[in-house]
Amino acid sequence: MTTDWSPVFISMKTASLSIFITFFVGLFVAWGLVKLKNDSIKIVLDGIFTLPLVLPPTVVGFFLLWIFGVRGPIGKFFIDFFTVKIAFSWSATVIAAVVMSFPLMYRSARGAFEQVDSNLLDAGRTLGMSEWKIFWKILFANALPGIISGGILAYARGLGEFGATAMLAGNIAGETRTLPMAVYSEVAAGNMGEAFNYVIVIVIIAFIAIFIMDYISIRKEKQWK
Amino acid sequence: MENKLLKVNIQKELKEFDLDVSFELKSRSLGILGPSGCGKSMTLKSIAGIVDPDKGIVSLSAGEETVFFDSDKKINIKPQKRNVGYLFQNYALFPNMTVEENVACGLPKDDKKTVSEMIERFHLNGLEKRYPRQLSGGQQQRVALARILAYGPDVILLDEPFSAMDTFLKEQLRIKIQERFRLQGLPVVRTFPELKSLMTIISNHWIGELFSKYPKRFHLTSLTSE
Repeated sequence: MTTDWSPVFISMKTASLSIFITFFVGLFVAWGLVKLKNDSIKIVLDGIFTLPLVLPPTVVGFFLLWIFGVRGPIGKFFIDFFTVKIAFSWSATVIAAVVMSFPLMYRSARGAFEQVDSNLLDAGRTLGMSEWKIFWKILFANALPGIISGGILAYARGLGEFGATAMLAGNIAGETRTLPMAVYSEVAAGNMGEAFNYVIVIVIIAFIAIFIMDYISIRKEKQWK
Repeated sequence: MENKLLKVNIQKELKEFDLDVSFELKSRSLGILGPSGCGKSMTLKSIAGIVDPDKGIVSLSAGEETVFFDSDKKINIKPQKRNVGYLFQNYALFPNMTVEENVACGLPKDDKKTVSEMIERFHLNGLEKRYPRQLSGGQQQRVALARILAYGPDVILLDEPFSAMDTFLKEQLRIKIQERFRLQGLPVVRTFPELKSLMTIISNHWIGELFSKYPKRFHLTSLTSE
């Protein structure tokens, strides 16, 4: 029996798209929260954004199903207006990965932003730099190592997502069966050899991703020192 | 040369005391002295728009009057629009940018001339491609000053300057800065951490009188230079 490689492509597609979304959304949410002056709103929002990290993935999946399922508010809206079913489709794997990896990106970015000397931002302001320019050239640039490590963690989390994906996207071969799903399915069916192939692939992908991102952040840091 | 007039009258409630400062400054230098935590930096930050006072007015006249801040009229111009040069205590150089990039950051992209002019004026030749971490304290300060002057500010605020520099350069630079500011007719407000350094630095341009009732109140009354 030859190995079905579709889980590899599905996982690569899901992890790539979800890290793209998570990276930018996490970055701007973190920026917004750092700028927020009201402490109680800050705490509440932080709690909501961090929740997927501390809840069991199946519980997050339960909530997602409740929102994106065929009877859920957003799920129903998409069916009624676009005749698109979100739950148990490929897009559901992306949603699950984004929601589960988001807290890692958001928290890392926020921590990295808070480490940047606020005088630098004020200096930028008195020098007439726009808030947008200050964000990219000063805040983002100086927080980059922390942001990249947040990106690594989020990417790895998205790639390995299982529980919430199982709840929202299911385990449909060739459609929503990602690598972790495939490993589970093969082991459940007693095909340890097949499962081993998937395990090797996922270890290699994860390792390469971490290597690339670490390499970038170390080089960037060395440059200024 | 037009004369510039900086008017400051601000009140702000702080944790340990209430800050209450008022002065008028006409194209000259003004020194604010006092122990750390007495509100010197807070005063400068209020002028620059980094901190908002609770009450009061900050305005600058250069031909016509520009109101930076007015609590009654609810005016509060962004720091970006105030055109104030602020030297931070730690210089606040951008660690991810070279000397050149730091000096150029407030300028339009194609303005290479001003950058090289400032590099020259502040003896930074040969250091253009260095990062702030690779510079000495004195060099860092000169970069910070070059960056401020490149931007062509209407007012200069120096927060505890000249503490980190070696004496010779300090003296040279002090004269240079004063000449430069005088030529531009810019009001300069600077803070001094202690009385010792005060006597040598402000003796030749200090006019006015200053009251500091620390810690209850930090009060500068109607200082009009000239």
